[in-house]
Amino acid sequence: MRFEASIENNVLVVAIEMVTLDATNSGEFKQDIGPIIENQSRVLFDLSNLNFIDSSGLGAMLSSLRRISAAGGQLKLCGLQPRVQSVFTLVRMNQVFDISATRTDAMHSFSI
Amino acid sequence: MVTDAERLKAVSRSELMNSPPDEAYDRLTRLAVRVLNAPAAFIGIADDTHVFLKSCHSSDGAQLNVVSVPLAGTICEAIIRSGEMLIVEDFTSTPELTSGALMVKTDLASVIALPIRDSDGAVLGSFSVIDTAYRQWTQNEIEIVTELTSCVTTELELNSMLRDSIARATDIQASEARKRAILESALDCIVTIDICGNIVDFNPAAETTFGYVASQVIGEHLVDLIVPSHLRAAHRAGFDRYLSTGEAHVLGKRIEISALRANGVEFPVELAIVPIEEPVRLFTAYIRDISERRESAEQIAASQLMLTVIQNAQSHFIAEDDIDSTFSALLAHLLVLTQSSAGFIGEVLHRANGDPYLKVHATSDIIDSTGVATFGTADFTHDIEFELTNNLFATVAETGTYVLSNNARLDQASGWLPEGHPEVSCFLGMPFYQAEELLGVIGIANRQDGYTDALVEYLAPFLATCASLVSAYRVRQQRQIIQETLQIERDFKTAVFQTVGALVMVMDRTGLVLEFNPACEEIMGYSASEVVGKRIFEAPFYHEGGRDDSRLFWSNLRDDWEPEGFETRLEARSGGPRLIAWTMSTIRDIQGRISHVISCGIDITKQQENEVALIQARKNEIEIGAKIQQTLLITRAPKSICGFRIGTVSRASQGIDGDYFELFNCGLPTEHFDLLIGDVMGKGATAALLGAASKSQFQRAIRRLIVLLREFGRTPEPSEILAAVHAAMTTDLVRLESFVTLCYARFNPWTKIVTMIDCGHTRTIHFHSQTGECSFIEGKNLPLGVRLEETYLPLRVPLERGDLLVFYSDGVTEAANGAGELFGEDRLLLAVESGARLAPQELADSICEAVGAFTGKTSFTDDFTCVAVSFDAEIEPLPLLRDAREFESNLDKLDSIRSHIRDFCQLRAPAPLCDDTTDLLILAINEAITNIILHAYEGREHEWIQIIAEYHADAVIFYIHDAGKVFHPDAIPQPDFDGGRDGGFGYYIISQCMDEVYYDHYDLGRNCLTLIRKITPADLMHSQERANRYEI
Repeated sequence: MRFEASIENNVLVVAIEMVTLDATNSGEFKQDIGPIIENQSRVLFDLSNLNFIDSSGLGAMLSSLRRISAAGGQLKLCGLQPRVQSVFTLVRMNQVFDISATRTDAMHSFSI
Repeated sequence: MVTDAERLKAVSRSELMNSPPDEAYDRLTRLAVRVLNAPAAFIGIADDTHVFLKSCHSSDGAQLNVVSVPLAGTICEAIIRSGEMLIVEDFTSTPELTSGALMVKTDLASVIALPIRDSDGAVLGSFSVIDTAYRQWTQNEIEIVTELTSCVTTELELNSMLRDSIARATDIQASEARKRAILESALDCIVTIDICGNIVDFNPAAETTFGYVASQVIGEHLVDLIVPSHLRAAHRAGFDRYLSTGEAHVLGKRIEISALRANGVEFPVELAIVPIEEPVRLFTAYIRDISERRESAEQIAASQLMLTVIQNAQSHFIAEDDIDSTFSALLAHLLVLTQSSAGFIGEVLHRANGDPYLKVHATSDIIDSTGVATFGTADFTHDIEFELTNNLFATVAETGTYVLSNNARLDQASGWLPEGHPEVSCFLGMPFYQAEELLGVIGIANRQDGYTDALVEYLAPFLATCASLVSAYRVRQQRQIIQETLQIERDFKTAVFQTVGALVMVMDRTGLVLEFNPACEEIMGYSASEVVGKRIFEAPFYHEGGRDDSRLFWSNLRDDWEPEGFETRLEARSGGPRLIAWTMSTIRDIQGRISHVISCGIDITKQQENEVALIQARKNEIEIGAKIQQTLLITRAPKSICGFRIGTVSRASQGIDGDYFELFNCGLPTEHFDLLIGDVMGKGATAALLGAASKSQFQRAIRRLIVLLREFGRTPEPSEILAAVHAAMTTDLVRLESFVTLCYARFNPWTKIVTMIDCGHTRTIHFHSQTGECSFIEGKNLPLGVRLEETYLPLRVPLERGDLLVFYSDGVTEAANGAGELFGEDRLLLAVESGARLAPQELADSICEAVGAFTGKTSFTDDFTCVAVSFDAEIEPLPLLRDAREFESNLDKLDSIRSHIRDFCQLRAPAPLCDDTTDLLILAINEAITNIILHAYEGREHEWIQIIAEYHADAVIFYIHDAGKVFHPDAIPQPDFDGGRDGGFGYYIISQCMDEVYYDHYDLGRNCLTLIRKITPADLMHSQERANRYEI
């Protein structure tokens, strides 16, 4: 699973390098992201590379959100392509996730 | 009136006031108490101040100390005043009569009292029967008391007669003394004989008495003249003994002996013989004719005998209650009293037609001239009856007075005696009456000296006794018949009541349970003691609803209620429900009011259970059949397919007879479609199962043929499909002795041809849009299962746009109305013609309505299937671009599927769709495919998924087929938009991306998901963009 995780200003920034997140790889994603986000209070997923997500991918995102929230942390998303953004909007997940347009915007919102 | 002088004289004459107890009267009061089952009865005789209790009997045997009470306020006074019968049913309603004055009981409630009259009609007192409870005196009881009261009167008469007889005897004795004085001086016969016995003197009195003139008898032997022959030897012996020995037995004494008159008649005499020794030895006899004296004494004796006879007879009758033995005893006495050798006592009765006849209660043996007892009987033990026509008895009955014949031999010539009756020498027949009614006839015969009027007079009390006995007998008989009938009925009812298997309950008219028989106890589980004495609606075995119904019934019970039968649901002690079928009947009193209600019930629980079970079993079968029909036979047809519009009506009947129809796709959905409509012979689950089997055989055959023919690039022909199904099913159908009629039709919009194989199905109706007329399409094939070697020949029917085909089951044409008339093809044809321009579904519905209106029923006895198919290519124009592609059920294919859809929508599409719209379509298809792989195929790879994409002028349509598990769109929950759940978004996403989503499970077990996205200009790629992207 291709992630690139780094700590910037106490925020775990995970750059999702997959182009698609669907039923073929969302299970794997959930499994692999677990150890990375564990005990992290500030997590930012950068979805800039993702150009397709379906309901399975959304499920994987929700799973991550719940694990971080349960530990008292925050998960933010940034860099959604319009096609991906539209899927989030379609199922109203834009109301559940804190979505920023760019990584900078997101980092800024963490510091507020 | 109470103080009427004549009445008081009569009372005084009766000598009843303050007289000692008399068994004759006590017997009557005792009888009244016993027969009427009353607490007490008494005979009161009243003078002007007091009532003397002549006789009183109470059921508990208590003796009454009071024998005389003041008259004022008593029943007796009321009776004397009115002279009429007094009946009080409820004593509280007659306040003028004080209970204290009733002498017997203070708690008296009802009474029946009659005046006691003497033979002159004077009221002496009353005969009263009382009861301590309210009582309705029946007519029969009133008659009994009346009869007993008349017995008192008879008793009074007898006593009076007895007193008269005694008085008469006293008178006779007085006159005898006077007569004797005369006779002493003038009338004694003096006859003197010598020692030879020759008469020497014969005085005038002797001449008169014996009928000889003295000169005739002087010198004659005395013995030969006046001594009866049977006494002559004794006379001679005594005479000789005296002469030789001086021993005298009669000399100097007065003896009574018989003497003989000149005419030969013997008569009683008083004789005294005085011997005269000087001068010549002579004997002087002083002879006195004592005939009259003897006769008077006999009369008194006879009167007394008569009284004794009557009293004995009354006692006998009252004690024995047997008219025959009573009359037999009476007759025996009568024959002695009248010195008759034959006789009878008979009662006059009437036959049903009103003719009178004589029923003989007692008769003597009738000895004919040869000494043989004839005329029926020597031992009178059974009834003898004579018709009262043309005989002696009829004459007696008709003349109303006695018939006396002392020359019967002569009189008999007129045919007086009944046939076979021995002759009689003399005869006396006497009728006896009660009031004006002829009750009977007494006949006596063969009195040696013949009969006299005096004898008739003498027998008057005898006749009166016979009359009162017959009356009493009749009353008693009537009562006895009633009692016996009642007893028989009671015994019978008790026996039936106790042993019958049916439930029997007896209620009074308020619903109070009086009887609850053993069958009730057994069936309901409650003992009689738990039910009897309560109102029936308080019984423990009612459900609350039933209890209310019952209470309502009893409170509304009216006398005009006609008993009826009904069923009630009760609950036995065990808790088990009991269904009882009741038959009701009523007992009514003489006023016609309902006094009792009898319920006779039969436990029909078992029967009902069986019926319910049977009904349930039938229902179950129908339900199974219906389920089969719903799940296996009834197809949910698309409204339109391949340029055809389809309308269907399919109603499962109450009986399920295996109608079915099905749509198949043998090739690409847009190429053509097949319709199968069939009907299995028979009804119920078997028919439904055969229908289902037939349908699945078609599916299997088609599937196998598709696989077989795929490599040849063609689809199976209807005749091939039929042949395959025939091969699979016919043997079994023949064995099951069942068959299937069917019609298999392939609709091809491209060739405008319907290829049809009709196997004995109802004739398909073809509506021709150009002519507006209908024709029938009928094939030549036999039903499936009829013949093993059958070649299926297709019909080819060309269609024009607007043409209509109507397929239907025989449930449509054979629907019958109340008169048994069938709906028929003609009416169907009319319905099709008149509705041909409607949409097919509306047409099918209108046919269904027309049939419903014709039968007048809302449900159908046969299955009802109607499929209307119209060919109207404009409705669903052929797509501009069509693409069908199969994929393996592998998630790894998702990427290429997405590419395929993108190509279809943008690269190949006649008018490319914009990115946003394309993305949405890709997302939707991606979700659909993912679901099929993960859920329908449960993750199995290497299954197939077919995606058919159609690009229409106004829409993009995707048909996604798979052969996985059935999908239930309705069972999909709404997604959790708060992020609480990972999954559940797939179907929601599809529905958001598409305008229309249909899911069907049909056609060879395939799932078909139809996704339609309408295309508007906004969905199209901008021309500039298109130019840029595709370098046009």
